[in-house]
Amino acid sequence: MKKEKKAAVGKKPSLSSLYKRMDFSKKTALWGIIFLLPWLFGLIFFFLRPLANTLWYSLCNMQIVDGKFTGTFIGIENYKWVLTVNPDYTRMLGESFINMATQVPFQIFLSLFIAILLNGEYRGRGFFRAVFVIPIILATGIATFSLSETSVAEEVTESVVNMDWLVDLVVNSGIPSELTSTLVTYVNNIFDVVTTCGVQILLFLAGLQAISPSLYEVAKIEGCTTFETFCKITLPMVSPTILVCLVYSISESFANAQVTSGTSTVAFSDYIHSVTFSGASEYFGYSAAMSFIYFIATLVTIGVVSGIVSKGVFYYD
Amino acid sequence: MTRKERMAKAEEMAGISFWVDLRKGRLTKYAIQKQVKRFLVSLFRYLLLVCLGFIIITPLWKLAKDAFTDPSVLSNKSSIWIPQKFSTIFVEMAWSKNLLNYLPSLGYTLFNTLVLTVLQVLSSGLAAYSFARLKFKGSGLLFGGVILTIVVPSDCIMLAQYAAFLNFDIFGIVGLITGHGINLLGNPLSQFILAASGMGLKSGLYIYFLRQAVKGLPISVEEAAFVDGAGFLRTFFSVVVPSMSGSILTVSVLSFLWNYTDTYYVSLLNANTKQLAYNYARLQGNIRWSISDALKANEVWMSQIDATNPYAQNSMISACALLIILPLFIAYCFVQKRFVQGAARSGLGGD
Repeated sequence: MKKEKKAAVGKKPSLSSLYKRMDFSKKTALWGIIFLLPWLFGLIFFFLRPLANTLWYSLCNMQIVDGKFTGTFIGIENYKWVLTVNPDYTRMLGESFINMATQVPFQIFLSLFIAILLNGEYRGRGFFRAVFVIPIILATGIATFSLSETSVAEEVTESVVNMDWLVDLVVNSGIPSELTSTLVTYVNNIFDVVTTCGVQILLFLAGLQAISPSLYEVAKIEGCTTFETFCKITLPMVSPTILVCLVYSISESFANAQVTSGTSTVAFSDYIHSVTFSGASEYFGYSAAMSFIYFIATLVTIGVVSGIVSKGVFYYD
Repeated sequence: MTRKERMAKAEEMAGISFWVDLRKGRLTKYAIQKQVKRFLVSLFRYLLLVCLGFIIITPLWKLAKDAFTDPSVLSNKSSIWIPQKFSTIFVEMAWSKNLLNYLPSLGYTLFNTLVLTVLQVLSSGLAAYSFARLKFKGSGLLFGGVILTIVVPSDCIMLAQYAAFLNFDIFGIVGLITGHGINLLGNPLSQFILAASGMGLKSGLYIYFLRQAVKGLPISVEEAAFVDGAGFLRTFFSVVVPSMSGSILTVSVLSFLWNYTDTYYVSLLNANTKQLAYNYARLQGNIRWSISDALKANEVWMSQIDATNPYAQNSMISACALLIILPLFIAYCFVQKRFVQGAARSGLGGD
């Protein structure tokens, strides 16, 4: 009996016996794919296909017929409209670039700085660490709001701290005005910047904790000053985290870019959103073109920046 | 002065770390310098931390102050930090049916958020483990896909995702039976599907975090599990998951936070006033009408509040915001310590 059974299996291998005969590396690969299946499913159906669809929409004149999207191919007409006819789009794109370029370096600097402050041994660090995670909640915009009647809103919400006297002092101090105006904008924006730093602070804190204390010990024995220790140990060791934070900050900054539209500031994404659902379905293709240009701009910026920065990144192992 | 007293005095003045000096029983210029420096550093640290913490806490404090101010003293600007006259009327109104409809909405939102968080963490965890340990041909390339999902602004694929759920149909199976896809818009299922397939809000980021965390674990533990005959699923759930519980907690908290306050996917896929954050965003635009609706329902409020008063509107919105972030803070207080530790201990940071 037993022999017969074995022979039968040999002739027509069942799935389970096939699996048992696999070597370990093949099994690993198989399970690797199985573990990845839900994500792969999502990647294909909810990411790559929509992305390809967006590209297709942007090349089409879209219409909704019987609840279904149908498009007629019109080539790069939509792109032409967005880039040459629309008076706002290119200006807004430029504005979000400038915002990114001025905010991200400051963000990275500030979050690294705060993380270093938070990192040491001192009294009440549990409390401070808890406080500095609050920006993650604040960054979602739930605690900052805009009222519908804007003129009134300005009157009601005073600035957090009155800094007019400080601004006067700096502006009248005789330092070149270009320099002071940049400084003043930074100081005025500090609330916005700090609220967007939550995740970066967390990342840097984790990066700092991962540095082996023995490195600092060696530096101390060799007689390094604090500044030297910072430049030769802390900075290289957190440089991979800096890269990660840069990529994260840039993508966040583009995703939440604030641009001026008429007299008020709106989020760039809201602008595209409003164009998309502004009524006529012709706008679908048009806004898809806007989104796609936006996406390419983000990708190129991140590619260029991370390409440059990754040259300077130091990996310990 | 005995040697012991001398030691104690010196210790008091210079700190025990300079025991070389202390043993000799003298206080050098160096030791004093060091002590002063240390004092200055810690002073500087506290000063900065307190100032920056102040910047962070201020808006929340102002929110609470506006929410608890009595309607009769609203336009009085003489008090900045504490309400001149305390009253809970705005909070009560925000709680009521015409504004937030708080308790039912909170239940609905919490349930949705919890399901989303569990699904998201599970799918990201599985993917992260696969990327970190179960390498196969092309897995490096697929990880590029993860980076792409982080980098691509979700607005870019907004319309196409909307279309995908307007006419939800995988492999054309549903279409074969009914002739057209299912409309999943306005159904929480649409968000659950996104989260379960690792494409939810910031899922790419979580995969990245967890992959770092798995990479930081010693591989020998997993090998031991394999040698003892555990399968891959069992190894993952009973060896890997417990040993990186810290980072899983961190990711869960982040996921919960962001899903709870998310308005983007909610407004796109499941626009529903029971979703607190969405309802809040909606209220901001037409707070005046919502207030007057609420006032019609209650005569006591009617006599005290004027719906057209911008200060009242401001206080109303503040009360709504306060009610919405309150559960987050209560929950955060419980996990706070483990959360920050977990973030720090895991390989969440440096490669």
